[in-house]
Amino acid sequence: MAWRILLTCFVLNSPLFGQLVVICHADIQVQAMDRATLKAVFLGKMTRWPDRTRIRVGFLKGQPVSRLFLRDVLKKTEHQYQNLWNQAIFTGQGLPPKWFSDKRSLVLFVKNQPGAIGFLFHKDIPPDLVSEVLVFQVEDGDEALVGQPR
Amino acid sequence: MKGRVLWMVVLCFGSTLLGESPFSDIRFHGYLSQGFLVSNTHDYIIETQSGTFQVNEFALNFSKELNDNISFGGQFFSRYFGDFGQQEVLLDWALVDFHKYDALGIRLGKIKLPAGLYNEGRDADLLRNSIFLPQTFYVETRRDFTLAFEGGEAYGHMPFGLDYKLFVGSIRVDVDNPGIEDYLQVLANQQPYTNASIDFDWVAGGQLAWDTPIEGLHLRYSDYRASIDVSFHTAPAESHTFRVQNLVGQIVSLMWTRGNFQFSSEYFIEAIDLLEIPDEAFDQEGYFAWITYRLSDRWELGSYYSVFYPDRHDHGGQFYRNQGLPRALAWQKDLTLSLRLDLNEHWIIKLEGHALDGLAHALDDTLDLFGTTETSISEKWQLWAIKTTFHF
Repeated sequence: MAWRILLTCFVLNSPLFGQLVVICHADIQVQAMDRATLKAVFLGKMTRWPDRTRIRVGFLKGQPVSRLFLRDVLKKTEHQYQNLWNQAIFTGQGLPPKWFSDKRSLVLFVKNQPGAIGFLFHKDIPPDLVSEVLVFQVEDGDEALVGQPR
Repeated sequence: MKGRVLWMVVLCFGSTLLGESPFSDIRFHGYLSQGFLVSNTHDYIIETQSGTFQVNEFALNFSKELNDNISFGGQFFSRYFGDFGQQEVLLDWALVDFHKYDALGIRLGKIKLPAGLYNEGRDADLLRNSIFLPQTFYVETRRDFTLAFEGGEAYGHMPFGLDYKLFVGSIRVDVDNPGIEDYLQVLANQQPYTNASIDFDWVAGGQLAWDTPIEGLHLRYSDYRASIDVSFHTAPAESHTFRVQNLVGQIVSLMWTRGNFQFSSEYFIEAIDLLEIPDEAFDQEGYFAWITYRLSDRWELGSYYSVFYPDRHDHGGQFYRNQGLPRALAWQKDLTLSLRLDLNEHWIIKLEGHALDGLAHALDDTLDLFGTTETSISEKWQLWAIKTTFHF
């Protein structure tokens, strides 16, 4: 069964938003996903893909794309997001994402780690790796629109 | 201590039994905090009038994923808060987490007790804006025995933004803890006692949390119950046994986050019914409202107003007035202003001022009530605090 999760529909002002992409490991059986799913994944509330593969989140820290993703997709500030995972770390209630400060390292992580997911601007995907991962454009528009692998 | 070491050995080498090196891919984190408190007029929970550095916390934890479904971890913790803690290193939590389905996970071990918005994370200063949490459910005198339980917890994420936790287990209580001594002294009618013991038959409860469809609005309800046996001797060799047949605590919480702004509020009640003294109830009540605003990447401002009544049936302090004592012993109201500075990703400094009304959290030992009258003792006083935390 081909699993489909709808990826979203954001009506946003930022001109950068059109460049925002979500990247996934090439073996993930997903063709699109909605915002609620994306949010659940990055907040640690959804930890399995529909085929039961464990989701591995890679998170690019301290970059303009991080602030955009946090503000417009997760509706959180960097401090709030970091605090959420610090809470998990210091109470034994969850394992945080793998943090990255380097874009190439994030893409390599997603390429090599089954179940991995991350985000960045499309222009920041190294050309030699762009065909190695699934790339979903996060689109503006209405709820019925689907983000397709690029 | 033997039990704690055993827990750690089991957790560390559990992975070996499953064919993994116990030390590969282990994540380590920790923090170290040091504070300074000073108050005027009275001592706040510990001796603060002349200023004290007896406020610090240390934690070191590790966690490891054994496979896609099982992880484990633990945290050593020590604190120094006047007569509380005394820098003894304790096992704060240590658990194995079985998590195959998002709708149902199981944790076994020593687990943080899910109560309100802040109980599970209250040891970690870095998780909040203020130095002191609102002293309602989170009153410092109760901290050592309301923080964690040993047993099991089921948890999961459900549709419609609902999360749940259900737990059952027991709590080990140190009868020499000053917070416990306060309870025992009440039961012993302020007489000296020996050979005290407190045994939790069980503690159980749950928490239901809801991320509502209103963006950023989070609601939570926490409920915990316990059955406890208390015994001690008073001179001359008189034995006393009490049974807390019904301890019930309930907390209703709300948090609303919008951009850099966060508002949270809670209402808390706890009732303790003693089988041997049916007319005597130890019912507490508290509530607070708290606003924080993140001014920039580094600076955060916060303020809360909290109210706590040690006896929720006597807000006016009639019990104390009848004994010729100040009525203000029956409440503690606290208006707090705090400033947090994140110097960098790992280092925090906080400044805090408390405008206090009431004496419920004034340190009994140094509160000289002899010969006091309503007008001769100050109900309004202040506490200032500074604290720094390094974490990794």
